[in-house]
Amino acid sequence: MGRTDHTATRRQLLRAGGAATTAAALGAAAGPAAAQSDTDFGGWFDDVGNYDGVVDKTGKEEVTVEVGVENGQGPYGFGPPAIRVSPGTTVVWEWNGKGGSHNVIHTEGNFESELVSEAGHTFSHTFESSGTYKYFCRPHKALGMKGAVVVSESGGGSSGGSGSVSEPDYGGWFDDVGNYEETVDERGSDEVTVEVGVENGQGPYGFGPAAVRVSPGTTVVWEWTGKGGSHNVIHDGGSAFESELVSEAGHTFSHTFESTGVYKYFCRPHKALGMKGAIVVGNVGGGGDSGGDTGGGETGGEGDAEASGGVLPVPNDFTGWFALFFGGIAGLAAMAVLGTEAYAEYRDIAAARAAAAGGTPTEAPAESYQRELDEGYDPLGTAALVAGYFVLIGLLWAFMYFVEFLAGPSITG
Amino acid sequence: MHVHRFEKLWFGAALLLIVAFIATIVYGAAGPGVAMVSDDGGTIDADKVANGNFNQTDNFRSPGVYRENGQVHVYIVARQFLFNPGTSQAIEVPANEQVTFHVTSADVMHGFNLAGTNVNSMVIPGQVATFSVTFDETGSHGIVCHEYCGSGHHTMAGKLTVVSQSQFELAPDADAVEASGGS
Repeated sequence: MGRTDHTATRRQLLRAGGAATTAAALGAAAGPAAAQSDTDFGGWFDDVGNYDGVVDKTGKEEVTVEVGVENGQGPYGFGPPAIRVSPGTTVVWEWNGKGGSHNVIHTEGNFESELVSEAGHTFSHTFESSGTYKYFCRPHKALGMKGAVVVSESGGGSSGGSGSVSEPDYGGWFDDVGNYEETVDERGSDEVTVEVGVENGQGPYGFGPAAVRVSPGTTVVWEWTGKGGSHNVIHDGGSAFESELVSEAGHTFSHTFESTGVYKYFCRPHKALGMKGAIVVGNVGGGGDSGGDTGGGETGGEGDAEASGGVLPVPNDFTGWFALFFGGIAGLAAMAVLGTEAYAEYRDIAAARAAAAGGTPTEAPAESYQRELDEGYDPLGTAALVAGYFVLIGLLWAFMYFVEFLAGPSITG
Repeated sequence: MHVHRFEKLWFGAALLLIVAFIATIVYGAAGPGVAMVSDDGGTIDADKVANGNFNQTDNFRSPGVYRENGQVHVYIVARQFLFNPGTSQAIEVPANEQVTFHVTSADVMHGFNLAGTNVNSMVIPGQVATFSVTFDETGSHGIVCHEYCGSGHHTMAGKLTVVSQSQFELAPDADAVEASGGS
């Protein structure tokens, strides 16, 4: 699921990036008129059954969205899924109690509700700044439980076109990072300071700012605030930089970024609490830019694993080699036995044919009839069949038990 | 009584195979110590799990990773259609140390399987599945639900990351784990 999500997010981001570029081009050509077109959600609502355009709620102070309305696949929808509100509007989500537990999670982490199932539960968030806020229900996202709040002054679309470079594709890296808003542009500075241990909504477990864009050659200095215990700074998906695990305030760690790319990093002890950041070096955008050699570290790793899994399975431990050895010996033995049997059978048939061709027609049938009475069955053919079954069972047993079952961790109590 | 030599051969081979099967099971139990998931975890009120009232239960804690009496314990709640923790955030456990999992369900029957391994249990509402695993290598394992649990079953998955002991650190306090785990 993780991978599917990943690619889906990437595709959406790519599409969003493309849309942003198009919007920017249109904006340059046609001026403000382009902004009046309907907001492009980049495929966000493609699988949302109850989406039917953006409902205009601008001018109201409080807007209610129902959680758990029918969306064609069951009570897994937000009603209405897409609304347009003015800045400063409070959106109240109200649970109707259908469809089990739901929550409301912003894709970029600005708001997140509890996972609740009771009817009448409410969750609210006040939207101050313009933009498109996509959100979803974690358990039912795949069933199309997704929504969006478009915050804009005049009912026009907003593609957040600040700056000349679009947001890089972080591949969901910031999904659970509370203090990530957008990439702070520090291009041109020789030295940029990132605080370690700022509030991220779950405690002092954030990098401030979480995402920074710098020029190549910039030195980034991480400075510990001393809050939240021990932190470190570890490059994700690579080994470009890694700091010590330190808790004292004032401790610093620095790294100079020479090559273009997206460098994701995290604090090991608090990664699960959303202590993650990224340094974007150069003009890496989201519109199909590969993000340099380190940007796709995580995805590259998965690809490698898949590639190595695709070729011949080579054993990597004792049981694997044992099974291979055992299987090889058994296979050779089986081939030897079957080969001998086949040859014996061939000679029998050849002899019978020679007898039939050379002998008189009356003698040959009588001979074979006599032979059947003596033997009762053909021992060689039966032996070959039984040997084949034994080899098959042996191979299945060795492979399933030693390779499939015992390789890797086991329940031991 | 005359027995054909081929018959003697496969009679012997069949006996050998049976002995080998039994020897395999004995080896698995005595060597690597493979065990079945028992009912030692006890029963639990599924409503309390669903409503998050873990302090009213005596054999389950708020979902997360804890160290109890020096041993690592992981408490996981499966519900439609997520593992908490596991889905929104990977479960981090140390390598080369016994890790005990306590898994229960908040709603319907689920499954808990570390993909590609034999760490595999049913997750039954009202029952706590308790089992211990020692991870020899660092790396990550996918967690999959293998009991059909509803229309989103195919999306129900998570991740478990095994880190080296030096990198393993518990979340700073149980409250923080609860806060993040509850999301």
